[in-house]
Amino acid sequence: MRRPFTLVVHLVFHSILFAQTSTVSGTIRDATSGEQLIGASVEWVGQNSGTTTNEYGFYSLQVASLDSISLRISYIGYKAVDLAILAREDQQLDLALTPMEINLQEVLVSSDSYRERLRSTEMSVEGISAREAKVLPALLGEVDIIKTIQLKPGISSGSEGSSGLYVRGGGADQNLIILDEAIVYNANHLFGFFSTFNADAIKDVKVYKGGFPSQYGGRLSSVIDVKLNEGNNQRFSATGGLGLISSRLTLEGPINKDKSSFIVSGRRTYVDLITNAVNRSNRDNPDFSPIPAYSFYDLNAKINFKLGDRDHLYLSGYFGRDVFAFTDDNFDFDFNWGNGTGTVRWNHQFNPRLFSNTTLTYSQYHYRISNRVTGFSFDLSSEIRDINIKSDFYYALNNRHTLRMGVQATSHQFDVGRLKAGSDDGTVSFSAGQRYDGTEFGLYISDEAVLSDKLRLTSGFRLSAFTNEGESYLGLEPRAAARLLLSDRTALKLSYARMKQYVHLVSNSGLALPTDIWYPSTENVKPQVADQIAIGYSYLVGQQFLLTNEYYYKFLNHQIEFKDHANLFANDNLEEEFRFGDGYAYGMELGLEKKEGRFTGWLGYTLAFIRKGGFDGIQNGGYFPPTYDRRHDLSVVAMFQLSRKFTVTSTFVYGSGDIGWLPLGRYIFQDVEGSEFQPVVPVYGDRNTFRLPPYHRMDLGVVINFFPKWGHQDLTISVYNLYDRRNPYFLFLDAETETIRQGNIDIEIPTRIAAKQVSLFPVLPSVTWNFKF
Amino acid sequence: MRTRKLLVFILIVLVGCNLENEVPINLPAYETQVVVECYLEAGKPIRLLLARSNRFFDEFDLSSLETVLDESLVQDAAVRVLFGSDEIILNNDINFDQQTGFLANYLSWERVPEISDTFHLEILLPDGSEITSQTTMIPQIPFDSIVVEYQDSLARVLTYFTDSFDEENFYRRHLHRTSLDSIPYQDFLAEDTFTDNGTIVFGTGFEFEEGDTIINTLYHLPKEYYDYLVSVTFSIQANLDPITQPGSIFSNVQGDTNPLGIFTVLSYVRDTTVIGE
Repeated sequence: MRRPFTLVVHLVFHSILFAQTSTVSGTIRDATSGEQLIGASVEWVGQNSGTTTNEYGFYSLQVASLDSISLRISYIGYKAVDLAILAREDQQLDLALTPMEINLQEVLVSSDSYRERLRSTEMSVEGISAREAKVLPALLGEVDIIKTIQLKPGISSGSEGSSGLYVRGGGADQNLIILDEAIVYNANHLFGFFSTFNADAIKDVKVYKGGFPSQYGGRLSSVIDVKLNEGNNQRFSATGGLGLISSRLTLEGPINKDKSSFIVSGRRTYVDLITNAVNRSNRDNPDFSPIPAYSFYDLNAKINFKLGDRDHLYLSGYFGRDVFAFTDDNFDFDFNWGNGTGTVRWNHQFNPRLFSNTTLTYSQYHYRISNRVTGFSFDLSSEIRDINIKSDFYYALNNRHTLRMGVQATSHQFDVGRLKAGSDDGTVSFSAGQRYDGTEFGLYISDEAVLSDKLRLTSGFRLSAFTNEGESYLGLEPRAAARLLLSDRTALKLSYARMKQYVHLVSNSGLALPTDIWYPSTENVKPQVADQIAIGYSYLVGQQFLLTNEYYYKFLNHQIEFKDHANLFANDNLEEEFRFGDGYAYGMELGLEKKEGRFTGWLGYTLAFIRKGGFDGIQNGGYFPPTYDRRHDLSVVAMFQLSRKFTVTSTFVYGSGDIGWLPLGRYIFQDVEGSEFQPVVPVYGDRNTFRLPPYHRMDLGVVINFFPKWGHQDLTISVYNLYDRRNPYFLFLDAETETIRQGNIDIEIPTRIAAKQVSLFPVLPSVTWNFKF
Repeated sequence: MRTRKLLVFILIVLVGCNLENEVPINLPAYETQVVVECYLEAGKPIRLLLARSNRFFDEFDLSSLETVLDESLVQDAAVRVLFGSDEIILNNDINFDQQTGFLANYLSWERVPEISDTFHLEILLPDGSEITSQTTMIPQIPFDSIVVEYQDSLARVLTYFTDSFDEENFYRRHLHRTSLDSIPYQDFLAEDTFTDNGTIVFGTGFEFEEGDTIINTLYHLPKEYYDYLVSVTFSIQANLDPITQPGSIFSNVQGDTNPLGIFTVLSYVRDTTVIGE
């Protein structure tokens, strides 16, 4: 009973208790580029005490006020630095680490050492770097960091080639995707085949599947935190590549060496340039039907300024669009969609222990479909706009307690299904659409406590709220994570997190369509809620392998489904199409990874179960699996540095087939006079009762490095679907009919029914030329 | 719908490698259902098809039409239509309407009266189970105008009508080229929500030549008939593309044996236009 009291005394009088301490604080950076290093280790040698840099590269470590102490600063892939410092008083110690001069740079990817991961209370977290994504084989050579994330245990993709993410039983809309702290609402190009993230511009990606830190909120199932590069503040450089479907170029360099830098990165596809040329050459051919033009592009930019020893200002932005256009004698059709984000971020170090990050962000996603025929026009659009402000504080109370607290407010504006159509003369007009304003609030605090050498506890809560047209919701979201070190190689971890989601994606298909729209919580649409508990262990196998094994159970409440044949198109009474229920998900994840040496990679296996139910009018309230209920999911990723010149990589994935909703019966529908006779009207039974054949695929990649007099070049050869597996994308039941003539009327009668599987990608080789100088 | 088709088009064409092959599958068990299809049109005889649905993989023996009919039709039922204090008994006769192409196995030559009333359907099946339904006559919605516009030598047809704001209305518009025997050139379902001033127009592209015969038909649909058509359309579409969500058929026939189908009135106007006249 005395321990809590002791702890309180300890917290309140910490300044007295630690009167004989000094604080060493600062940032750790890459010596060649000036980029901040996230998760670099700062160790007080011989004292079993240390810390790591936070997501802003900042660290704070309290040491005894002695004449001299030894520190060791390390980061995987970089030369460790040992130094002795005078520690009689607080010190600002900013350091730059030099990358190791080895040929494995491309595969040395981890931002956190295994030891540090054992020490941390964090669990259910996956880290990816752009370097990692770049060397792995990719569909059509398009490096895609989201698809690399899909190779991690507990995270599965949607359909073939999709960039959708399904994390621990959550839907594709239940992932919080943030780019430099701004929300990205639709992280896809080309209906989900590619993600919006250009790997050249990305510094680091962290994916939380559970055990969510208190600073995150607003989505149920995962947080995908993407950070952009800051720009090299030491020298100018250019990075780029030419691929089969797109080219990309990144320029970065110092504005004022060591003090400010910029990075600009762009990517564009060029299929439309080819199709437009074909259309032009056939302009005079009356039998030629013009090919629709499609393209996507994105642009990332960031600048940062060091405003002194204690302040740093960052400005970054993203803008991307998909454009589809089709013009012929009857149509002038244009369909475009995309995201825009902007971030202004200010880091301030109040003192050696207190660091703050204040951010103002803007996020926007919209789609617009317009068509024009002589005398008439049609224009449909939806949009969501956010302005978000937040302040995060990081306070190293002492070496046993690190506090994080913050406040956040987001103003949402939703334009839902705004339609305007009619004739130019005004005789015909129709319009639809709704506008909602909502405000989301968050307040959080957490404490990462070192309770003993073996036990660490991170606990806190998030208080969230949402208001929309007089309707208000308040939510308390407790968060806790504990780590018990069973040995110097084994850590047992446990976490609990409640998450609330106040905005919802209205999507009635399993695909990531640009026409999916976001909808706020209202009087009838309650916030979605998830409670997740997870337990697991990490075991360091030898010096080079880390084994993780986690088990989770997730309760899902206020889930949204849509009634049969829901009309989600420009519907002013959209809520009438919603149905509300609950669900649960549970599973096990196993991961084994090796991130150092010439041979690196990982193996991930997931066993998962998901059910949703209780929806009024859907299957009598019974429970059913969603389409992404994938029972087994296996990923094997291998990267082998053969020599300085050659690197070979390969991935293999195996997953239980997706769940399908197939018709069980059929009947003939004659319809009225003048209609098309329907010999086969499918009759669907219960939802999602059929499992498609399993999915498996092997990809192979070879990176051939060239070392010209200056810079670096490589050819990255990818073979997607190496053994040409015909994986199911979609299954349909096809009826062959014969015609019986009755009088002067023909009647079609089905004579043979077959199940047909549509596959998208056969073996697809591609080559990309990359350069850097 | 055009957008949806375009999405599917992009999906397939841009990927450029649509691969299709037949796979063996076992579907869960399915118990066949009785299917009703009957349209009441003022001044016309009543024809009703009472048939069975099939398991999806069932195949018909086409050695004779009689065999197909034996396998498909539900015979020996007692069928009647009631309205006010009157009733019409439908006899169990297989009848093929050469004009409309409608196959019926229950028929009455007695004409549907021109009244605004509710019609009730009662079917007593040979096994003793019952099927019921009802539908109410609704008024025709006339065309305001059918306008032909020209661009060079080609013409388009604009079909105008006015929706009544007083009630919720549902429409189906057919446009045929030359004759009703052909597959409709356009077949649109529409709700009345997308009009600000009540005027609704259906248009075509500049695709018709002088001398073409255009047949415009505007159906004013009871809600249950509209819902049924929507569910049929989406069910067919969902089996053919990965975007459309499947769902159940919205029938307006009820019974212990979970029947399917539609029993509805037909209320429509039709106009024929010859381009250039």
